[in-house]
Amino acid sequence: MSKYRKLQSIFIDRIEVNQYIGLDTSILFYNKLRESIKKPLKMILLYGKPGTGKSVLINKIYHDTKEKKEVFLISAPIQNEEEFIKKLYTFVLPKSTLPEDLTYNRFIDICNTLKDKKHITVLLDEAQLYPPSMMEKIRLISDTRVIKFVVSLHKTEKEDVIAKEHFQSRIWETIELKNGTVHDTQMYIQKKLIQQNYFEVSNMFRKSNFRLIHKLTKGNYREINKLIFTLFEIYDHYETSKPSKIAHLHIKNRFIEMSALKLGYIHA
Amino acid sequence: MLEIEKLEREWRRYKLKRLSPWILSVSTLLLVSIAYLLWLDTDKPLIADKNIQTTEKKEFSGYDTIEKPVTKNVSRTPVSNSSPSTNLSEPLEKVSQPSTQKKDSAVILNPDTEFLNSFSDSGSPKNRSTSYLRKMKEHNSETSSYKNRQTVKAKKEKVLTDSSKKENGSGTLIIQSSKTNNTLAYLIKRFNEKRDPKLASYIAQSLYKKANYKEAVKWSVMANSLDPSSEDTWLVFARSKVKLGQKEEAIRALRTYLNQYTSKNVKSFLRSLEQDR
Repeated sequence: MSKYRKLQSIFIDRIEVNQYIGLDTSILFYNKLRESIKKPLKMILLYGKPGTGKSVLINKIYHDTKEKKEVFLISAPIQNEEEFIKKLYTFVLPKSTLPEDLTYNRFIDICNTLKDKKHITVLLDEAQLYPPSMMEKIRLISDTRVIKFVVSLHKTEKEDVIAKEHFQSRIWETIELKNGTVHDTQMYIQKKLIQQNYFEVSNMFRKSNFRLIHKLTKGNYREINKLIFTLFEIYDHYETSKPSKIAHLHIKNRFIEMSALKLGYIHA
Repeated sequence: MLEIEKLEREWRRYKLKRLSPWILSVSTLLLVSIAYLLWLDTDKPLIADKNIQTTEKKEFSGYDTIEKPVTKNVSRTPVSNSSPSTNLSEPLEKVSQPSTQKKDSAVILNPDTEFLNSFSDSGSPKNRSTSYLRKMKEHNSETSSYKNRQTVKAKKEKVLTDSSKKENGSGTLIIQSSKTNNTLAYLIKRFNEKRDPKLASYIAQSLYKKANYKEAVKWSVMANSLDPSSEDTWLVFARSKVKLGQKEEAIRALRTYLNQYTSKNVKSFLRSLEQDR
């Protein structure tokens, strides 16, 4: 596999806890979320635009705290209500056998019996995909104070309404994740490369490159991943067909712009 | 699959699109600047022309000897030649002639060949023209056409002098040259219009090539009075002087030049002259 192919694989958009990049802002959010989990809250709302690092953060929290606390993660939404309740039951009473006639009402009854005796945290990623009826039930379950929900959802106008209607009274903490700054963009790319020992490639990026990347992606980490992936795809192509084109000490903004054109960030 | 050629084309289009407002504004700015410079350029000569006209009148009044015996009513007083310090004309050639003092007279001069009148030594203008023409016959066809021009001019001048005689009270003297067809005459006419030292130098060189050394000397003096730093004029002057058998003068001129300026050509020519002594 060529060097640039390997570099491409670093920027594939996937959630891997071991590839978590500790940026200044993300560390701040991480600490804030950990502190919030410790508090006696019913629900915590984690929101932000797609690609701001919600899923990565929630996964990181899960992997870092699961050994010490009863923290559970539902990364993909469970659309079926029965399945969802069963899942919650296994979290609350992992050792007991699952009752055959477990319904939502039955589960609420069980939670009420466990009040002040059991406290678990359930992290719900992509919560905007749950139907409103399910969200209403989640709200009622959180009222029992047996399960604390950390709800991660995209920030859209519609989701703001959901947050208002269903969680306003119960949410004690809201954490909004935002796109990165130019500095965050630089740190993100460089740390990703250094993490994989690509020091020389990391040094190929200049300030002007980071400024351009930030301008094109608006500091959105998902978009940064896509752009850098495409950039190395172009480099890989030139390496095999026209190596002289990339025989420079630094990354040329021309190739970043070409990547942006390919991704449709800019148009000719 | 990455279509790199398509992507490169797209990038070029994108770059052009992005840069086009800049290119447009820069080119507009450039055009405006060029237009302004051109305007300045056309403006300058107008002012310069005025100056040239003034000096032209002064200088050529100095050379103007042909009218001397004819325009009896115009009194003449000597005028010093206002040439630069390193001017050839002062030490080497007695070019300055008594000038015409213009009392209540409007003299419009277009004297492309005025200086030629000073070439002849003495005698009546007619005789001088004739002797000049005799000399010119010895030269090529170009100079013969020059002669024709001179003849025409002499005739014209005669007529004009007659008319000036008639208009004695006003003392108006109008001298105009006829249309010239040959290159040298055209160059001389151009020189009279522009007073360009390079043009004078070129004429001097042309005359030297045509073995018309006396005229070459005169034109090199003329060119030198306008631009004393030009080595070409000094070289033509020296070469012409050598051809006229005045080697010492040529050496003196070249030494004078080298006192002020440095020139490999002048140095080597001077060396060759000194060796041939």
